[in-house]
Amino acid sequence: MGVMGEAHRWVMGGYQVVMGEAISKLQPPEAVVMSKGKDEATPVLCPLLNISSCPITESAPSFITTVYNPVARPVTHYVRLPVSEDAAFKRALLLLTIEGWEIAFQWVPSYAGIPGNEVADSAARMVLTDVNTTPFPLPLSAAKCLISRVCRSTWNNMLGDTLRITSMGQYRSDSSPQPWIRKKSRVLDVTLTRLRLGHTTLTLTCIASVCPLTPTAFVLQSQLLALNVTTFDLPTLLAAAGVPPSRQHAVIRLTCAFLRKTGNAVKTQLVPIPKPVLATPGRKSSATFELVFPAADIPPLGLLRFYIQRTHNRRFLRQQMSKVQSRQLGGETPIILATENLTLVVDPHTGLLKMVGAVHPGAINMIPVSQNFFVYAGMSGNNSKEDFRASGAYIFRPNGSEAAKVSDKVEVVTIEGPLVYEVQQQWGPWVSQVLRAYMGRTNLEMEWLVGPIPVEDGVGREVVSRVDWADLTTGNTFYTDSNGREMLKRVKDYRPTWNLKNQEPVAGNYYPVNSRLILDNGTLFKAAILTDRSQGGSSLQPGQMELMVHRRLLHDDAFGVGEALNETQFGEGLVARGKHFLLHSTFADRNCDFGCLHRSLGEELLLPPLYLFEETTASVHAWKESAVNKWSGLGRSLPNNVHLLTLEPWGDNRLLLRLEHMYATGESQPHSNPATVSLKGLLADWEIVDVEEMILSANLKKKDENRLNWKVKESGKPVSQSKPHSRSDNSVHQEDPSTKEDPLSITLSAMEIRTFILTVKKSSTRF
Amino acid sequence: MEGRTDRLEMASSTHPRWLLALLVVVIAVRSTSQANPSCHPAKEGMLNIHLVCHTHDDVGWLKTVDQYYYGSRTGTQNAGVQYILDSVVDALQKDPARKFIYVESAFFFRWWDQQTQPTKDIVKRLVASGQLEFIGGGWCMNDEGTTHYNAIIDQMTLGLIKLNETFGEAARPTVAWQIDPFGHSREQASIFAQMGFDGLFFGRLDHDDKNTRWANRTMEMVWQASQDLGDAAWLFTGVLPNTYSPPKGFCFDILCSDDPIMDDPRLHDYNVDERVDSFLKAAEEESQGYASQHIIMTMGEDFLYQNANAWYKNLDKLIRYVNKRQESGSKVNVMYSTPSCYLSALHDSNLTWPTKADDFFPYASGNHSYWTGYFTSRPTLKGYVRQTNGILQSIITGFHFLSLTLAYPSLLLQAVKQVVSLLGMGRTSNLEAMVQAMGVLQHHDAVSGTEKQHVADDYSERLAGGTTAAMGLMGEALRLSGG
Ligand SMILES: [Zn+2]
Repeated sequence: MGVMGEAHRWVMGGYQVVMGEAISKLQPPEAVVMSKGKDEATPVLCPLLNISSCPITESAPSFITTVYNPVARPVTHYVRLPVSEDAAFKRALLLLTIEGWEIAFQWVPSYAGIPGNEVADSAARMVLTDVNTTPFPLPLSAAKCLISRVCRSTWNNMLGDTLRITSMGQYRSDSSPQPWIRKKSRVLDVTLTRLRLGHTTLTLTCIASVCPLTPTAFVLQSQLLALNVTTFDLPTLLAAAGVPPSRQHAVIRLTCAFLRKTGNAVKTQLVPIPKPVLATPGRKSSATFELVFPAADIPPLGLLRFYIQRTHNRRFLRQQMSKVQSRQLGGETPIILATENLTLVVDPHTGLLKMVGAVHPGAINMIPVSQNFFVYAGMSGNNSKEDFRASGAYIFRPNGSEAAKVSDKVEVVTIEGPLVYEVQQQWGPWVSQVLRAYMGRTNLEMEWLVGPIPVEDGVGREVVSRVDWADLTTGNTFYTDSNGREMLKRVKDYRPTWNLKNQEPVAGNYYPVNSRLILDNGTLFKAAILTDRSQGGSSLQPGQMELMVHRRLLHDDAFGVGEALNETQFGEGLVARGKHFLLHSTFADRNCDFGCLHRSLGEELLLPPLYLFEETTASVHAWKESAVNKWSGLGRSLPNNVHLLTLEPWGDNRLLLRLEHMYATGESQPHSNPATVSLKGLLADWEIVDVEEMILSANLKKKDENRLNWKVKESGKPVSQSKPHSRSDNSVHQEDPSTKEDPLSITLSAMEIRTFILTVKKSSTRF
Repeated sequence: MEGRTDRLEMASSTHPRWLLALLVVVIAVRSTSQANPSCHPAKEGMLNIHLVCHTHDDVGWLKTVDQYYYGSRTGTQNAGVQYILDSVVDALQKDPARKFIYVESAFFFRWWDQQTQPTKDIVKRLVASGQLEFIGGGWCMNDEGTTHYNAIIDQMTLGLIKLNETFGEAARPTVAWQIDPFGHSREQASIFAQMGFDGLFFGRLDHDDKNTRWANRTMEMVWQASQDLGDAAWLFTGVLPNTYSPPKGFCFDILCSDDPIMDDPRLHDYNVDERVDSFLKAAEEESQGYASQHIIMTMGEDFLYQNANAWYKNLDKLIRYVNKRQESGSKVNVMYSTPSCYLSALHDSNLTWPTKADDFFPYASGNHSYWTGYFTSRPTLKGYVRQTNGILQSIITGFHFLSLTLAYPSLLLQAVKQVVSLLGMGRTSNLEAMVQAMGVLQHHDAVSGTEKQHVADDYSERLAGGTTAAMGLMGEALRLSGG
């Protein structure tokens, strides 16, 4: 770990390895706008990624993916891109991540005074700060091997261009103290870079003429000779490059840090798209695989860009391809898929989920859980009186019989690979699901695909997913979110304020689930299911979670809409696809307890990274030269318990900012504690010159708020009177000097949202 | 709509009219009364009836939002918002005592943008004088069961800021008005409280809950809408007596079939005495469910007031003849009012109110009519709305905000100007289509999945169109900023 520590310190010292070349070449700006405005494609969204369809990723030989993270903290996200079988098998995909490239190939020997480079530095710093904490998954030699494999296919093309440029470029500056001042020539810089990469055709030994001379090595050698560099060992080269002996050690060590990042970045996996997805009505796509890769540590309010290119490299294909197994049901051996964080057990007789588990020091904790899809038959009726009410767009009314399993047994295909394990389950022609466990993630993703719901027999159907936790005795109590924020306690067949005589045992216990349903019996044993959209849900049995995913009905319920809820598309019943995420308290660890698990996942589901795609004809090299490939709008991340709810241009040099404490009291330790955010330096490029606190809707200054106050009867339990949260009484704050806040230091207590209009100006340091 | 209006079975109450609380928590009372001077004064010692003239304009349901605006497809529903606003503005000018409230900013600004300056000046005067009052004020009256707080805050802010920019802070809505959503969430109440609203009125709650509240005179309460935020999230909340309809027999719209007030004794069918008796009876019944000496009557319905004159002509007479009975000892006083005038009268009553800490879900209008299907109805539309919310937030922080940032460091002034004019340094000005589409989609017949199929298709198109427009800008921004 010592090396990593060194590297870390070294990075923090200010010498950065970033996309500086690209930015510096943006000058003069008019020329850039003119030349770039014409022939380049505009980045586009792929709105049908949810059914694995995206024309660019399926057909373009090379394309660029921009991944934007709207969360105010770095997020690691697994990107899934549809690719066609043709491409996958014949040419194999080669992924060059921005981190791979940035760190493998780019450096800015000096940067002071170059607009943009300092910005880029701070972005890179954010990425590199976790070098110390990320365990390195591969031995150094393996990493080197990976890198060289990635590099080889494009390196030689680039090298020729690179070597032709012998001047220092116009951005030379050497005023900052750096371990490596670029001094002599680009040739040397290139040489050193290649050495640091461990590039196989140009390693130290190769340069020293041990291996057969390749044309490029020969060119390089001769150019070095022209510079009177005759001894090709590293110390000599470093010295020739102007690196003082005292800093040579650091440069060599940096090589290790680089390899770590790069080794992480190139992992990819090809996953076959499940058959039911391929058969989705209306799907016009040649894609049969998804290319999975991690976008690691996307900067807060920032972006990473990836250049993705197909290659002819068959070896790469073999490494990327998942192990795919169609499982025969009936065996005795359970199907077990285990990542470092999550273990998933599938029943060998039914193909259904049987257990989930988490690895803890010294033990794997296995939790029995089952999941299946059930169908309610919707009541039909003419609505002429209450007894004849039909299930419809508004009303949920099962016809009285128990919900029926869609099937007892499902067909199972398992997928294994370096990044994700999947269990692809199929219940029959119209219900299927994929269970996913991603490396490093502590939730079980369940992507369901339901429809066309059969109604040919004249019966409307409402489909639910049920999860049963055998060991979680929760009685009749469960919790649902209120519009995705605070949680509310629900008790089956009970209302807190009046005497309920429930004549609809299922529908009368349904509640809105906008983001999550939680079971919690007051012990450390808790479970949550999170959704990607609003659904109805309940807990009809102890330990059970039920969410309705889809409904297709044949009768109007007579509340005005005048149509039956019978959605069709492409001449068939509508097919819907969505995700549930399952969490259990055993997935928690010291850093993130159960409350932290569901709140942080909830934030990521609300604000998933946005993908943009553009086809490109540019070479990787040219692309790198011209593009901003990593950026962040924030100077630093927000604390883990603060959600950036709004950051929006708000008229002349003003921004609307809403910060939200996203934990309730008692929900997570220590995340429920108050959080303090300093606005100073929060925005990477903007200096805040004025702060005005507003009410939530931003149409009134907080200090002018003067709501009516009301006298209330005290009910049985104590009335919440926690004045500290209320800022309506301004005089209190003004009279007590000790509570006078630094206007740029914002404190939020549990669940508090504060709204500000910021007046900003460009940070002068960047110009 | 007839089908959707559950008329209340009036429960007779045995409780005393004035409930006294044993334990009272007194919250500091606002020192100066903020009563709107334009409110008609109540009469002490009388039952004061607040007539609230309103129209409930769904931002899409049986027709699309634009069909409703223009009034096309009358075969589906006779409803045209442009005529409503034209007609109300005319009618209000005829008598300064008349009042009207307007709620859905998505419709109001469609209309406003088409008005001439003289008409705009008239409207500004009506707003300033308190004759026309904005209530609610969000882009739509959002659903509460299937919406996410992120989108609720955005859609409320969109409408409220536009009102602020158009009419100034004095016209800021202070009463929330959720008369039609199918059940009510606690977070919604918390959000309203944090948005500076003084109170909330709604129409729909479980029928047994309503009966219980009616019997206990707890139709009005203080909602303690957050476990954590204390009284910053307290919101006075009133359940309206009759969902949002007038008392039976008093719908004076041209689309209704109730008799007008025929007050010339020389003519046939003179009915003033019967009308006044009948109104007093309705008032007496309604007062059974409420705790103060004020009651509210919602004089409106879905898309009514296309001919506002029919309403005001009859309500003018109703007020005149009902109040005339005071000369012969009647203790009922009726007046034009607004929800804020009514709320302010309740506040001045200085009563002590019951509290509420949970929410109003699920909503059942009958023993077998649980409105819990819409929590899932149209799952792909619901998914699309949530997905678009994420994209919108990304576009705002990422490409509207960030691209400005990106553009500055490396580009000279000329290029900066290009980017700024392209993106607009103004508030989301070039993202308006997308922001407004999301606003419309939060409506209680949009994301709820309770609209007709052709309307659902229109909603999806709006989301797609708004997103495409915003994406075009985003791509340009990326290019200009060196991406
Ligand atoms: Zn409505």
